[in-house]
Amino acid sequence: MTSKKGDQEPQQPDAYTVARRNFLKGAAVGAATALVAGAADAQAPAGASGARAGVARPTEADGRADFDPPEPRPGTFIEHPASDYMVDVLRALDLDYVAVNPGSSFEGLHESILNYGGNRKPEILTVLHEEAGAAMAHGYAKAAGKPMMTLMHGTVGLLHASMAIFQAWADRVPIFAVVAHNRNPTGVVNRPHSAQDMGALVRDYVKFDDEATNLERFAQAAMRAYVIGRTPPMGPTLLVVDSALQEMPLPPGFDLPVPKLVMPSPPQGDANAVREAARWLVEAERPLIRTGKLARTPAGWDLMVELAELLQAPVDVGGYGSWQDFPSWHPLYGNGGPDYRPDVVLGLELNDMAATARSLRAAGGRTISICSEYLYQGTNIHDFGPYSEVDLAIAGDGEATLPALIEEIRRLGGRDLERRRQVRAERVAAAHRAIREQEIDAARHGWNASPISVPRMIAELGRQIRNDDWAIVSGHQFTGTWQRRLLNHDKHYRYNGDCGGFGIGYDTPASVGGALAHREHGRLPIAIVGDGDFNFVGAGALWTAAHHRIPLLVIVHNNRAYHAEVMLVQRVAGRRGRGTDKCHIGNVIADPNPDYAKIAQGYGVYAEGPIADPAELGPALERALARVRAGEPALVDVISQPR
Amino acid sequence: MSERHATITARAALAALAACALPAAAQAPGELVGDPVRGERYFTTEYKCYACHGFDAQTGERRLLPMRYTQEGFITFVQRSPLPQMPAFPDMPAQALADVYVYIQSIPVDAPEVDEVPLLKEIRDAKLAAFDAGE
Repeated sequence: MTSKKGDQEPQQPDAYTVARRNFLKGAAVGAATALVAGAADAQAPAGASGARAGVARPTEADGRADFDPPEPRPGTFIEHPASDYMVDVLRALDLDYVAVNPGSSFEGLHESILNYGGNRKPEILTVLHEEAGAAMAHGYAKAAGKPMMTLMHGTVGLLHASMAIFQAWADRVPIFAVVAHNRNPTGVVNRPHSAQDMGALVRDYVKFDDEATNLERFAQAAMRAYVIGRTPPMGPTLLVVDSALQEMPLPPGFDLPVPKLVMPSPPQGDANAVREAARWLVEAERPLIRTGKLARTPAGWDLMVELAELLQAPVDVGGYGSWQDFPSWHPLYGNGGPDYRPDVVLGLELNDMAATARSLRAAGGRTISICSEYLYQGTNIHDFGPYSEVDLAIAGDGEATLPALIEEIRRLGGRDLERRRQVRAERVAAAHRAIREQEIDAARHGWNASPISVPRMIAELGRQIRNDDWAIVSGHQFTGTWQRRLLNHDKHYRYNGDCGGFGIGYDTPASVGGALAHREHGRLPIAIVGDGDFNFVGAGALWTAAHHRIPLLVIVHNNRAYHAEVMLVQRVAGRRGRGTDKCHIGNVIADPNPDYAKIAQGYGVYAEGPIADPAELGPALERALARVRAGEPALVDVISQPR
Repeated sequence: MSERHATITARAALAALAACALPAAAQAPGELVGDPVRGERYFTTEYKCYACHGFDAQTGERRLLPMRYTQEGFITFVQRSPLPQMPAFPDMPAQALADVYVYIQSIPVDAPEVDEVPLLKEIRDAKLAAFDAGE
């Protein structure tokens, strides 16, 4: 948090159209007086401070203006501020929570949420860093199926949050982000917190941004931001709000209606193209389905199971960055085995099919892509994947297009499909069953090792939660495929996906957001986070979980380093012949070893560790989970093998 | 970590004693005599082999135990690795790699059969039952 206290008395925005109703006369006079006074102070010579001529330096008057805002005159209380209307608009969006790290540019809206809105719909979630707040919104949106709002201070707050907004962008997840600033700043503090184009700070990774300079525009921009953010391909949006606008008094008889929220249906693939895709799949001898970020909702999960079983086609759920699109212990989960040579590959919400398309074409096969990525309108970030020369490209949301595809396959499928299904079912089942056994067999290596092996850590966790309705709310990035191998991901909410942008710092705060979404369903949320990730904004996120009584078990996969980078630097050093013995420098988090249990305890969270003996892990998890089941967060610091 | 390193060091020291006791005839012609104590230091401290292969050389990618390379093959591979996932260590002396080689061989293989580990057996049985039930 940056110092944000004390902007000056609100001034009239440039284009306040509600003013046409002639209710702002009194306020405008006061604001105009303050504007003139502030401008005069800003131009005053520094005098004794010895400022160079022509250079505007902050004066003592500036400082007073920032930190000692004028009190309202007796009898001039604003009974109905414009920010109350903003809360009415937010209510129409059905926003349950807003992540807030306080800022003086939105103290009006902050107060309205509390005292006008009763701190409900949305309810304020106190966060200790704007990046943590935006990451919570990211994790929450995937688990809840709807956006969370995050409210930020101008420039400083938005820049803090920008990393997490970027991650949500790369993960195609909506965040309803609102940033406030003073469009006519006068004080020494609020000038750097204002910008002529605030949205430009994050425009490269939001789908839409707009600045509201009057209430009518605020309402329309809010609706538009929400609708665009939730329409596939989804993404974060940003609404910029003037602080002075929040303070304006609503006139008697104010009747600006709150727009009705109308969500468009998600884009479906063209009917003729879908029919062609169905024909190819029905005629295929060895179809393979590959998914990326398909199942936006539980309905998407059900449709995937229906499609796979209808075709008896294996489903290759992507690795890093994919969502949980298909049950991980299902007989069709996998790529069909090493001898399965697909002749048709259906990619669903997969933004990179380039290599698959090349290899299939070389082998005489065909590829189909159904993906909303085709609908993107441009971005500065190269996360859209290479151009993929697929044989049939269908622009549309995968989940929304599946019902039509399934219907066409049912219509076209006859005896031939039934024959192929039976042959494939036996073949794929035999291959996948062998793979299932190999996966468990691989877990036994280093079973009693200390530091604790990753599969041992996951298996001990599985033992403790086997009778719970659990949900993994962190990513898989640092535990490989062990979670899907050893824990039965048999429901859509069992796994909440990774950060999207390959950035560190997502897992812990996003897990708090995911856990918040699961709280009302009584699920048991669990996060397995790297020590490197935890060290970004994780500790403060734990405080938010403790403060708001959000149950969550955090397991720190503590290998005391950024291990992948050790090898990367070694590779370069080896190539250059300059010695590989110093490459741990800058990569290892040791000497001294951080004590994550103590850190968590300092934030009021039950914690145990460091635990390096695998025999001690199960009892430690059991004690921590008892706290989580009782409704509070807990942390276990596990000294683990690097991978 | 310090207790774990003490255990490894003691294990390496025992292996060093055993290596000293080996009759000369046990060495292949031209084979270097490795020092497991030095090898442990290279593995865990100087070259950080554990970062990918695990502290016990069997939990990471790839597993180094059981050792499948000859000493000569091991040295050649580490110095000139053609694999993208494994950096080459051309500056690492053959003697140092011989030390690492003998150190890795001194580490006990820790891989009980699945049927000997009740927790793993339980997971495997549940997984295969879910598979057979088509869930």
